[in-house]
Amino acid sequence: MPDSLEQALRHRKLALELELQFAQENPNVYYLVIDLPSRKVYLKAGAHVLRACAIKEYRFSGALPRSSYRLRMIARIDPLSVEPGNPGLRLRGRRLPLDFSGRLIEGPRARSRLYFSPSLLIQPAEFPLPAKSGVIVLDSSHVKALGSALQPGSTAILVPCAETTPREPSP
Amino acid sequence: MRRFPVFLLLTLVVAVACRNSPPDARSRGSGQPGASTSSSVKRLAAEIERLESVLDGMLDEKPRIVIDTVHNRLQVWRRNRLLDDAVCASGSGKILLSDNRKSWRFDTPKGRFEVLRKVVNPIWKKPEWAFVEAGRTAPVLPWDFERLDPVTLGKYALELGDGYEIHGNLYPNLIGRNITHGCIRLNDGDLEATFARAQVGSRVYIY
Repeated sequence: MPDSLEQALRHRKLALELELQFAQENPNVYYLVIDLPSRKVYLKAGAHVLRACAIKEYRFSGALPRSSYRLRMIARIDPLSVEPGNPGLRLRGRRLPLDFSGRLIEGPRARSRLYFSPSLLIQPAEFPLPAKSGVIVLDSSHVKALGSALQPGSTAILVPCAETTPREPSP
Repeated sequence: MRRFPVFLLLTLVVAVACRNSPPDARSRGSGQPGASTSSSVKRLAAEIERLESVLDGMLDEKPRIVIDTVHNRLQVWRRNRLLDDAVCASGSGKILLSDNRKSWRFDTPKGRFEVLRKVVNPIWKKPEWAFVEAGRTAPVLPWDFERLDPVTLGKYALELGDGYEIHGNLYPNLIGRNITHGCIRLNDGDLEATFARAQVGSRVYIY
């Protein structure tokens, strides 16, 4: 019990250090704190909480997170994502199909997914859980909102649960 | 050759004895049992408290406005306390093209802004797109009387810069939708409350 408490505190401390460093260097940039012990994902900017999203389910296949770490967003995967490298589908910088409202075509959807590196998906419950990557399941309205706030390159900080962490050898 | 198995046996016996001994006996050499664990837990807890207070110190004392353009909600927070939660309207994302090949995109910008000015009874100085949208020709002079509109923005406006504002609304039924030209619109009651709470310099987060 004291071991798991100590481990949880170590994860928390490392996460706070990572967050503090990021928030001080980028006070105006949106970032996520994925807090598995409290089952919440926080959208934050400069230490201000902008949105708190309850985690419905999470799973890590293969290696479990051994301590808090930083992730980088790679892409938002939308149902109608245009294939990269297809300039023929462009008109005045817009994608086809021709839309009466850009938001409907290019904005985040309730069925968007957010892909982070190393290998983590944030997705709504409607999708099956992927077998080969970690996954955090949120309500689709939260995923849509996070998809609006974040962009490729955005940072997330993951705080793992102590009980999922294999015991580390003491030095 | 003969000494090796004896040495191995002794090593095994010592190892098994150590393993079977109670934890107290094992930790006897390093002081009181569990003392190091509890002291490191205390040290970690103190360090966490310090880091949290540093993060807490980064929070702005002024109320902040958080706008979710996906669900069209505007919230006013002071530190970690929610003060107001209102339905708003935000940018449509539409593109307007003029005859002379000019184009405007009506998106609400995302990111961190500040309340630059609080204006009572704001007068809207119509930009060119307002005339193009209405199928009219914009006056040549930027200060032409025809450009001034004292009605559309409502009773109050919070200026965010680059022509973007949080302001009132002529069409209450359209609140909650993505229909604006990029500004944030609120109904009268919510606008009054937000205007009262916001201060010049208040942070505005839009996502």
